[in-house]
Amino acid sequence: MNADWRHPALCNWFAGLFAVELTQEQLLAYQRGEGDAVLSSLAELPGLASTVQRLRNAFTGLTLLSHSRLELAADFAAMFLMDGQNSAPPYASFYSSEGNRFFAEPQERMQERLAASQQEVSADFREPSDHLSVMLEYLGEGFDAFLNKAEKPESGPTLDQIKAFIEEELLNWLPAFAARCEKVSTVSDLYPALAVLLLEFLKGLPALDETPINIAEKAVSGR
Amino acid sequence: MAITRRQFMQGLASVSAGAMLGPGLLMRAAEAAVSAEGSWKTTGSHWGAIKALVKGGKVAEIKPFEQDKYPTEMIKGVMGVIYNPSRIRYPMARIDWLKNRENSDRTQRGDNRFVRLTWDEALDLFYEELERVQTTHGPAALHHSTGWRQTGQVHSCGNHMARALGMHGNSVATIGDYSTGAAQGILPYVLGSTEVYSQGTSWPLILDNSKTIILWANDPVKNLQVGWNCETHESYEYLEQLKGKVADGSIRVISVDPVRSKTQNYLGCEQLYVNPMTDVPFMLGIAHTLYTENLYDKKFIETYALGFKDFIDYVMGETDDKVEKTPAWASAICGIDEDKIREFARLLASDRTQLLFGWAVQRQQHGEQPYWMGAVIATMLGQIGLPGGGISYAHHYSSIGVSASGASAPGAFPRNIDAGKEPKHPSMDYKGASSTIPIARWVDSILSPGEKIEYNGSEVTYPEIRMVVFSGCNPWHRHQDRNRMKKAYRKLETAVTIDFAWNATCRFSDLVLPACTQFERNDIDIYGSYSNRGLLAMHKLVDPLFHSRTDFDIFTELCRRFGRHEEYRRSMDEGQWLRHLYNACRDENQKAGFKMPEFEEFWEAGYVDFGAGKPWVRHADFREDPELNALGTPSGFIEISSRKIGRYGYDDCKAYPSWMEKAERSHGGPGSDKFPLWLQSVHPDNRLHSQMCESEEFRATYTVQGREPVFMGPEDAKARGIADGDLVRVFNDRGQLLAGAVVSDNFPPGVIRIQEGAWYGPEDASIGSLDTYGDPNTLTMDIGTSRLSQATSANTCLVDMEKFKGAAPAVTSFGGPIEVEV
Repeated sequence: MNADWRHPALCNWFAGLFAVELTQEQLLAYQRGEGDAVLSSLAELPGLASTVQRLRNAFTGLTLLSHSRLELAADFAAMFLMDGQNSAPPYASFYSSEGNRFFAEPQERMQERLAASQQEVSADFREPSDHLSVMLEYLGEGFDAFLNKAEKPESGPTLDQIKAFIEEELLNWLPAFAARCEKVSTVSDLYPALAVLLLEFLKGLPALDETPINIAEKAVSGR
Repeated sequence: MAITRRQFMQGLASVSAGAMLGPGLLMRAAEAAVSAEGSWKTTGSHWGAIKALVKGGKVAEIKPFEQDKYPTEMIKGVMGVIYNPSRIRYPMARIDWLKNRENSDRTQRGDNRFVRLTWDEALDLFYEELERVQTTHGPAALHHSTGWRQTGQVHSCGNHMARALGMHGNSVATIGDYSTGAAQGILPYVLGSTEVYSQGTSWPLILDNSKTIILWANDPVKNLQVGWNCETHESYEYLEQLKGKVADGSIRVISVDPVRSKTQNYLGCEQLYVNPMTDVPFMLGIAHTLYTENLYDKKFIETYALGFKDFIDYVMGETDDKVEKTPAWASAICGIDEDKIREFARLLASDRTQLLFGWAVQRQQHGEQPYWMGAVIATMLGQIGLPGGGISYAHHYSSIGVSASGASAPGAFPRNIDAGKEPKHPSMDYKGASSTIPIARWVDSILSPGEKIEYNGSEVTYPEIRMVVFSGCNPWHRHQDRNRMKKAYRKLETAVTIDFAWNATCRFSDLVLPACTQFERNDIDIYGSYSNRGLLAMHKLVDPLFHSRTDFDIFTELCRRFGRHEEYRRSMDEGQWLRHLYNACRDENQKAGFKMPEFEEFWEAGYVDFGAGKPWVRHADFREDPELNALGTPSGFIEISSRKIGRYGYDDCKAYPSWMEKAERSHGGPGSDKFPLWLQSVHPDNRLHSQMCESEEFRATYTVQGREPVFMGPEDAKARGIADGDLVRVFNDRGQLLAGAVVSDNFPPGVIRIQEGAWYGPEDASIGSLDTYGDPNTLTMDIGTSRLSQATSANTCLVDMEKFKGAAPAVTSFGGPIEVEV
């Protein structure tokens, strides 16, 4: 399978979901099925269909709750916003350094990558650069630049460089992250399912082919 | 059929509409100005001044300030505090409280989940609750408190909270503190001041003049590692000299203590073992010997003291109890051979003797008595006011005993509402309750509103506290009896905490606001709380992490909600306050001949030194002229007996110091048949109270199987089949905890130690659940020392222990709640 427009778009979709809680408006949109196209395109990728179904079930299950947005926000907090003891902090450093410290070597490496591309984390987000969503957005931009190489051949990473980033900076900690996500007590299965889905999605990427890209399907990222 | 890009993007747009965060977590970087080498910055802390290497916006290395010759190991824990995985990263609210506010299910408190709020949402809620409580219930329903806060004069969080909340309305105030409450109660009657926070006789004079030094329940080598302001560790130079004098025999040091202390081990000095909580009988035996062997200083007593006869009548068995307090009588209680008591009394009287008391003996039931008796013995010895003689209650604290430079310390961001201003809600209607209560009785007040207690000659009526706010304070460490606290918290409508890590106080709150650490803000501090050795710049090392803010910002924004933020900050920002405090300090010091450079020069250098002070003797002025320099006692003299206290008619603090049996006491005392071990909860060796407990790598240097150590002697361990390194369940009728056994010859039979400040981590929010880490206040008793002080009695505590069997529960102390209920 080739890298195509879906990859940067899905990276950014994941980045958005791990960055911040869903609003009532977003949740209702998912429950009305407006996210089906995104979920279906994920389900088309090799090996993801059953986890996508798990995520769909989680969205459906939320309709049974009386304060679904608030309960989901509490799940988000329990999963990603609390402490290093019980939650699954979405930072590469937490899984890579001794003492589960924040701002360890992975953050430094990510900081260097961003600096090299004259970028920094948005002031609104106020998170370390090894936050999962920052790394996913960086990955999405990488895909974007790769897919647009036909227009700007001098810029953007090679597919091998993208694969190396996925393997060395994401897949080195995301299994531990997803395992922790599965252990956190939550009301909904949405975020644990999402963490597994992300892991499976990323695991599939190193198998992408280096064949020429389809210029007609030029990448457009967005969230 | 495959999804088209168009379908995909439409769907994505639909589910992204109204997202809380706009697209694009990355943005074009500002000009990078970070050198690869980084830069060294200066800052201070309770643990001392430090230099920090900041590289790429991160603290990369920490080393001691050059002038600190005896830095504490604890500075190794600083980075673990800044980058701790239990940092509070966002404003958070307890979900059921968010849904139902004052009608929330309070049984879930401590276990309930939280949700993230924006700062605006969180501060709106905070303000709404203050409004609700003030308008519905008035000032009696609100209580706020601070504690050992982080250091720094601009950002001192207790001041920020007290000023902001004080501008909004009145509240229930407290008196005293958890460290020295009984001392603060009794010593003004006896010596005219609280003594515990006063400068003491300078160490060089003690070293030059004392022939005997008594460390009475005092462990300065352990406790001098930390200080109220930026600690200088200057006292250690003198302790090192004392060690030399102990070795060459020129000073005899005796540690009166059930435990072989860190100081005793360091100095290589003698120990006189005394049964726990029986110092007073021992002291009465000493007084009996001094009196009957005519070893006391009659002239000194006649000139400087009152009330000797009433006291000595008690000693000689001529008062109601008809018991003569002979060394033999004392020996049966305190465990010291009667001849040894006599020998000890003779030694004290034989030459210049300096008594140095620690604070632990007054943190027990009737804790006023050993302090009063100490003053009486010092008075009988007649050496108060002489260099190297008399009594001190504070040489283990914040380098007291290091001469003061004479320079002025900087002021601070104001704690109170400005003169002439009124709070938004000026009501002083406490609905018949007291506006001020003894600090250690706030849990009583929540549990029993309207109840009346006696306190220091007056009557206190407990107010009905409905809302609490804590900043720079961990009451779920400092207060006693966790299970009782759980009951009290089920009565509270709203609890707000401002802190930087998820401790139990946050977990049991409804609204948690993330303050940044002191290493994320600019400030200044005095270097040496009592020596005033210099002025230290506290350079911000890194920007506030995550969504944390300075207390200055938090409370400015709270005050903005009632339109008084400019008044609150006096229209000055952090930088202007820094300069304002510095320049005021500079003006003051220039008058006294201490030169300070312009602010910019000082800030660049990081420090200005005021030099060493001149030696000084406590109470020398009183000794020189007791009429002109009268003490602050009712009579102006040392009061061996107090008519004023006598008039109160308290049976737990009488007109003269006396021995009273405790509610529970080891070594044959009440309750020791059921729970035979005395648990002492001393100030920790590796923390400042509960501060730095969260620092994971540093904590790992002293924990046992990830738990707080419980220190015990080999006999008690062996009798229970416990080996060094085992997990141990420590328990009594009040609670139970897990701790890790450290078996040491320092501990005699019947005495165990768990250091206070260990973070509370119960298995769940139920009453009686097992504390998974080892907070000793799970087991301690929540009673007042007496009706005089109503202070903490933490060291009156009996327990038993057993080797823990089975699967140990995970430690829950260093995180948020985990339970899910819908």
